[in-house]
Amino acid sequence: MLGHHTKTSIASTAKIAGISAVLSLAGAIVSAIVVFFQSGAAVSASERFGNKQDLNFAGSSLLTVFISLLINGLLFYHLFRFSRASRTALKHGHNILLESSLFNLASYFKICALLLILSVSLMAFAMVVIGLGGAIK
Amino acid sequence: MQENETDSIFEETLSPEMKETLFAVSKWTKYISVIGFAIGAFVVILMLFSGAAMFEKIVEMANVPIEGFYGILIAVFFIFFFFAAAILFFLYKGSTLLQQGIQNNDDYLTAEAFVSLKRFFLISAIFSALSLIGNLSSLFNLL
Repeated sequence: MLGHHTKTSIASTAKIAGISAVLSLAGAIVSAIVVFFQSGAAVSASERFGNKQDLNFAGSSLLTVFISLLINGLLFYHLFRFSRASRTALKHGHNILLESSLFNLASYFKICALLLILSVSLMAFAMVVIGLGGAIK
Repeated sequence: MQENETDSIFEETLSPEMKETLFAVSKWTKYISVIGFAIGAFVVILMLFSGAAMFEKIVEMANVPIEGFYGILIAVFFIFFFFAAAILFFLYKGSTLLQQGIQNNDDYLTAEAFVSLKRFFLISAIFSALSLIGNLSSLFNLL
């Protein structure tokens, strides 16, 4: 069933997916460096002026960056593996490797969907809490 | 000879494992696009009822001394919104075509599904590149 057309379109999709994965990871790393610099500045400001809020801001930013890097790393792993493995599989006609690469693509979309569901649930929960807070006041 | 051997692998009927994997790709992409469309509909309703007030508040909070900042903000919102809609459209189209392609054993539909997924990744790559440029400019401003 996987004829020439599908073979060609999987190869071109894999190429673009690989580029997208690299750009996304690079963006996450640069963003982490920016936050490290900013939180470093916030820590030195809190040491100088004794402002605890700056210290809290730095701590929460670092935690967010750590989680973001973890998620981006996981997404990069699956997408990049799909990109590399599928191109190799198509080049050498290796069916099992192609299957494994498509499994990586499915895992990538599965993680994206679960993250989306989690973030929507958290937002809905936050809105309910804010709404209840407003109603109690 | 080698070319014929390579092609013969793809002319076989799809294995049940491969079908299951492709169905999984189709299922999760459909979930993402449906949730995305629901979020988009929610944003449209929110904007219809309190969009102007929200944008005015953002302009007040941002405190940027640029004339026409309100208009720029609305333009940026619409560009982002249509890009997001395009991403979701290609994802949904890819998901539907992939499902139909596997069910009907249709090579053309499966190929078209991957073309849609390629477009999705292309727009994602553009978004990632823009984000990378923004982050790099922030980094150079800090240094």
